Amino acid sequence: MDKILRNRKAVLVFLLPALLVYVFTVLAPILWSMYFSFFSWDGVSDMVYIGFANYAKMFGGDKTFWKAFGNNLIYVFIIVAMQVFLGLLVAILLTSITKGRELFKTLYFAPAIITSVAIAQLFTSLYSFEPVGILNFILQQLGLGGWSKPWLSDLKWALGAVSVPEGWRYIGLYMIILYTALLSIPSDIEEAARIDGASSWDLFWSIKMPLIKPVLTVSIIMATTGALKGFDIPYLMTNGGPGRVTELLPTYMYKTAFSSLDFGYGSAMAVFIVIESLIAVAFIRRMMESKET
Amino acid sequence: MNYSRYSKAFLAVISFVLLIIQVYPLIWVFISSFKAPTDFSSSNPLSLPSRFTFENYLSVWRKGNLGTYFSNSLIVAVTTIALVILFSAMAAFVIEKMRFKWAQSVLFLFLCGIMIPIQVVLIPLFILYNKTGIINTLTSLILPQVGFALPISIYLFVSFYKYISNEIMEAAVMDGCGIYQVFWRMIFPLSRNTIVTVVVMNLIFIWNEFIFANTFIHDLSSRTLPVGLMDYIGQYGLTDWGATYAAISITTIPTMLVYFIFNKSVISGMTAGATKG
Repeated sequence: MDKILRNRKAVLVFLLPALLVYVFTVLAPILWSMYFSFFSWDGVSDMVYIGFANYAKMFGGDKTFWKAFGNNLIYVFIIVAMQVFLGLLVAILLTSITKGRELFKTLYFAPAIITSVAIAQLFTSLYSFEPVGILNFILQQLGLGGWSKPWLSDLKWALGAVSVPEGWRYIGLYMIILYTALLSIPSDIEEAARIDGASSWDLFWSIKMPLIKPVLTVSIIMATTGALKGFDIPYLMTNGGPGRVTELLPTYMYKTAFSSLDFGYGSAMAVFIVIESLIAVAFIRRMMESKET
Repeated sequence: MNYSRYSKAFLAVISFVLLIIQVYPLIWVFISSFKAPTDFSSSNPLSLPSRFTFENYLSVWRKGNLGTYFSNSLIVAVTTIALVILFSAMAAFVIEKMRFKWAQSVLFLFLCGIMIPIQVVLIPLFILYNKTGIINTLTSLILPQVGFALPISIYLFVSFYKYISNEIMEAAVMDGCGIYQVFWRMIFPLSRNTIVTVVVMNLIFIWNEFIFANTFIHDLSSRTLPVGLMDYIGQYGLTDWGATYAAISITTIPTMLVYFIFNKSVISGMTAGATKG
């Protein structure tokens, strides 16, 4: 038996296909990106080694980069708030209703399975001003017609408007993760607290929240890293415009590489997106842990 | 939780309102796909179609290349998923069941992939595919999608294989099975449920994939559905909304069907994928 399980040739036969594809499409490209980020290159002429110049330009002189970075933070904030906060709210509501939980779960999750291109088009028409889209129509019906506006071309509101669809589509995913966590709390803990006279609010805030904190931390990390690489929907809805008000780092990186054909600078930004995600994960872990004491 | 009757009713109402916000837009797209062109100039976007018409669907089918896009999407999805299942089941078998010194390191290496943003591989892969000439072919979509689907798929298979006892493998070996037969005749068929989860989860991601398709494909003839949907946006500065809604509906129906049939597997797969990162 042992000999059969140690068959080296079989190990290679089973492992190599996965390993080769994975290394060549996921791991190695990261190293290539780092390498390209030290060059000036348009993809056609010769690559010119320029050391850290791309990074110096990124951090030093590029206003659009910082604009995109700032937008990205707002984008992340809106999405995390929607996905984790609303997800948690719905999860709590769900534990309190008795009928139709399964149906609710199934329906809430439905937007998560639709392509971002369709979601971008759907929201473009919801936000539409002329012909009037659902959002502006409802505002008018509520007597708030003064608030109706072309959301995606409004300088003040466009960034918020492109953030909402991404938040909206995955509320169901976080709802289910948090709902599962809430359900896994043993009911005797709840009963004991009740007997000690805890109110529903106490029960939630001082007993349930600490118990689901690990899952909550993971949810915040997922929502944050997901939003940091957010690309499809803003790219499709506004392509960074009007002006640069909805430009995010991934959209800026994409345009730099594939429209301006500046592969070196684009790679430097891609590397920055990875590092930024890693830092965000470490930061959230630290923050959630320190809140414990 | 113990709530009074009133607060329970209140919670039910809020849940219901939130449900409408989640689901109504999808229903609205579907309803709007049956509207006649004149309905779109009406001042009430919430209204029902004045008469149900299939014109939009017909015009999508006649004008667009949706048939080509659809079959491209299908080829990419089927090939990618077949490769993902095969490669990840085999790799997970080595990692979990065979005696192999580096098993845990290899697993760790694969799991790192869950964290990696797709953007970082776009430029190098674009350059590589350009040089090797596979740019603009469906292969340029299949390869990276297999690569990015492997980490979570391997993770799901490994978690399942943990529950297969070594004794039944030993019994099979006693009966004269070699290592390949143990895998093909026994382990692989036993993992049917995991296979279903991996298939439906990946099917939805792959069917909806946009970035690779938008970056690596420029020919109309190799486009997949999500990129094809962009045909309807702002062409000639005007959007044909009826056709757009019809095209969205056609694109979304397959994933909706898969979802409503296998929703447990879809949800468990996607949440496993998510919580692991």
